[in-house]
Amino acid sequence: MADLGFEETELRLGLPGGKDAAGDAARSSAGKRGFEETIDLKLKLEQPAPVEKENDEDDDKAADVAAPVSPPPPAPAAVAGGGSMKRSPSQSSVVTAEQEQPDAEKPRAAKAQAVGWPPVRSFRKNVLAVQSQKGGGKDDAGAGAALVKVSMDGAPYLRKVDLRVYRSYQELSMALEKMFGSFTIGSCGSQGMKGMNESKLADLLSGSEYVPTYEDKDGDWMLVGDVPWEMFVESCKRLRIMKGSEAVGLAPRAMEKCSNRS
Amino acid sequence: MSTPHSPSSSSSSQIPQSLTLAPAASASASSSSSASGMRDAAEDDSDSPPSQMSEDDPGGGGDRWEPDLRGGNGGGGGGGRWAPPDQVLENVLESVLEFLTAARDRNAASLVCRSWCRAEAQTRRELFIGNCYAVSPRRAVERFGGVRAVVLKGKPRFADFSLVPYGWGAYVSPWVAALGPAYPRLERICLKRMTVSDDDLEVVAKSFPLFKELSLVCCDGFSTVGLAVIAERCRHLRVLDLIEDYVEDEEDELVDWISKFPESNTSLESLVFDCVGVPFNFEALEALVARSPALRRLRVNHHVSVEQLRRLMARAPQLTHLGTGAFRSEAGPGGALSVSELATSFAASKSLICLSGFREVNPEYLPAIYPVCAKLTSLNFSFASLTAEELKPVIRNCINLRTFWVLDTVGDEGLRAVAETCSDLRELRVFPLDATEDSEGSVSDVGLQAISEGCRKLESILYFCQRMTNAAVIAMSKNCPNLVVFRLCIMGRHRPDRITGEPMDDGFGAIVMNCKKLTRLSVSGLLTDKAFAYIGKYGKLIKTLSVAFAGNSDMSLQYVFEGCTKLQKLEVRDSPFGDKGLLSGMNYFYNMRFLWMNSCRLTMKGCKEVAQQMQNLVVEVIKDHSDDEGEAETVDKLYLYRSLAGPRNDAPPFVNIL
Repeated sequence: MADLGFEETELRLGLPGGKDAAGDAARSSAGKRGFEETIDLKLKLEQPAPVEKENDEDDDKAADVAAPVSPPPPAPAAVAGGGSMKRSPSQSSVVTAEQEQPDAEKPRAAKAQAVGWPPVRSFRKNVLAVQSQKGGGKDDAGAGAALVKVSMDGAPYLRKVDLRVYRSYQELSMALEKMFGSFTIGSCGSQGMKGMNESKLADLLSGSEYVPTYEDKDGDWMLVGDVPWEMFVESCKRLRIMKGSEAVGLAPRAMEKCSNRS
Repeated sequence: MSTPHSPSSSSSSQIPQSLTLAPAASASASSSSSASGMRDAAEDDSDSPPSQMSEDDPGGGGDRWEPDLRGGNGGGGGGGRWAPPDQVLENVLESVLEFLTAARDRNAASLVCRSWCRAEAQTRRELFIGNCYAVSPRRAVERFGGVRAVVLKGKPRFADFSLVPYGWGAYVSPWVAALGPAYPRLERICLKRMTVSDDDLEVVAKSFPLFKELSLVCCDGFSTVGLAVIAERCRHLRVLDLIEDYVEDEEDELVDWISKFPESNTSLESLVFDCVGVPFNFEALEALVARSPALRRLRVNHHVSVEQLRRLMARAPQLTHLGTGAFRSEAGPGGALSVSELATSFAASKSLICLSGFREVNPEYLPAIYPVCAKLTSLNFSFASLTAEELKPVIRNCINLRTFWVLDTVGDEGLRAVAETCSDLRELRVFPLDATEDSEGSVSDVGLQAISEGCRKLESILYFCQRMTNAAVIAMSKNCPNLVVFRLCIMGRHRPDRITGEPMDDGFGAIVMNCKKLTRLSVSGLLTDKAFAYIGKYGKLIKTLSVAFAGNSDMSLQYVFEGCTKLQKLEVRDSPFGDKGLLSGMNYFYNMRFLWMNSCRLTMKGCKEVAQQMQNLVVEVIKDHSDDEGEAETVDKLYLYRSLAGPRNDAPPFVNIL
């Protein structure tokens, strides 16, 4: 747990340099990517219009995928809202897919996942996921489940999630929110860290918002979003959602990378 | 204004088979039935085999909607024991009413007059409360004086699919606190979708010295610590059924709860703990089974190998229901168990009628169950990834099967084999191995058609697939007129008929038209308002309707509200229904237990209007995160339910009660 750097409790708003540099240098050898890849941890509730449009397009896309041989059926148009109905993101339980533009050539990849659909209980999903993991024994990255425990500070209960069910940090984030309800955990978008900078990160970590962190294979505790999604799935051993102020010890490294970038 | 529900008119026409949640003697309807009606049908939705759970009434006890006979002060009823004019008559009445077991009959009896109401309240032994927030614990215990069993349901069903945020509610603590002092002779508690803490379990163990049955279905919040307290202190325990609960399993805090059962012979009849995922003390279990001569139902978790299973079966040859654990070998120094040795164990278990488990099944061991197949009435392969070739030799022997749960890995071919053999099948559930929208899907309309042709007595079906046709659904509607539960889940959203490209309206229309006993329906696929017009027109007995990604307009909701006169539970997601549709249900909400809608087109305006006009409805608007966006105009999740208790006081910040 030394990696959490508990002794380094002060939040630095400026250049993080100094005594962290040595420790970070030792840890940064694993080839983990820099902070620029880290997601914007602030949850965007009022998502900008392009994202709404994405939902609509995804629905249309879903319909088209579903009915390749038939003329466009009437229902999806209604579902997609015909453009005249104002739909905020919260109205659709569909998680926005990763790509900004749903790719017509690869409809399946662009298709968004709806929460809790198909309606199979997580108990069953977990059991089958574990079975496939045990039974498969394959080495390739796509095999089996990646079940990790998720704990949240202050919540008496643990949950387990199968990381392979999700395709992006954003999907994971939304699922965690649904699991742990009423806190701001920060959407893990895939658009990269446009606009995230030290001060935003500092805001986040000094506030009372929660931040997802994880323990990786090396036993290090990191902020979720530090590494590319696939690498995260492979290396994450457990998740812990902690208050931003407690995650400060993880911040300096992130801050340094942020500042290195800018 | 609301039209009060009049149960007497409805109960006279169709008195359903009564459920007594009393011990096993009465639960003979199907093999998978059990003392507690919730048990076997727990998977994916525990609204159990149709003849069993008394879901049909507007709710037992305090749950049922009625104008308060006693003139409106909360409570009253059986609690106020002033001497009636004729004590003898009242005693006679009570003696007679003892024989009434069905909640609906009791509800009707309680409306006759005050005297009957009192007598009924004193003689009701089982209290069924379908929505724990519909009545306060205090009110319930004040009315009913002699309760021996309590059934409580909490969260709405869509909580199973992560649609209800964590911390929403349904805590059993206030109930346990009220039941303890009120019913010292309480024997049975059945909870579904409630949060039960270890402390709650301790209170139960301490409050009820005669406690006999605990059944927890889809609950969460407890761990092996709580189980240990129950095991240790409930010396008369007969039933401990843990079904699809989320058991906290912090591995470094495990308690060896199995060792805590009394050291003398126990009265255990049923021990179900396949959902308790953590390892346990096997030797302690073996010893427990050996000293539990009444044990009939045992379902172990996946930490049990076939070698261990054999030992258990040797200790309990009288078992009727067996959950087989992993069903593969953990070979010790003596080598792996042979199939024939295992088969000997099954042959010796002459009473087995229900098999489940098979959690990590090695198909080579399947022939071991052949000796019991012919007598099996219930078989659950829904965690066993079997191919058609692996299934066929087994299922060919199961000529008396009534309940069959299976994974779609067996394909249409496997289902065909089922159809060829299991002519007596009443309940079929086909679950997807890969529960995602764009999975391949291994079963289709072909399998459904085959089943409809072979299993004419089918009453309940749950079928997950990716490809379906109206023709197959129509065929089922004609071949299986006894269908009471029809739940078809076409996993890809908005999928039309795979051959004609048409919406699935006609298929579901045929189901409601031809299956005249249908009380529960789940729809999917591409559906227009026309489907709902059919449902409203023909679905006169439908009590539970689940809708997802369907319909064109608010008319769909209107058809349903106006047409489905027996509707009690409506759950809707991701459908283009707005305030107009919601408001079309205004006159019907008091007749229903609840309405759930998420990701539709509701706004605060419409929901507020409902809340204002309907004083005895609790209207909850639920957000995914309680942040400071103020009051958004759109409503993502709406949950409304009739209640005598008013707005609950345990709502978390993200729940806005209008």
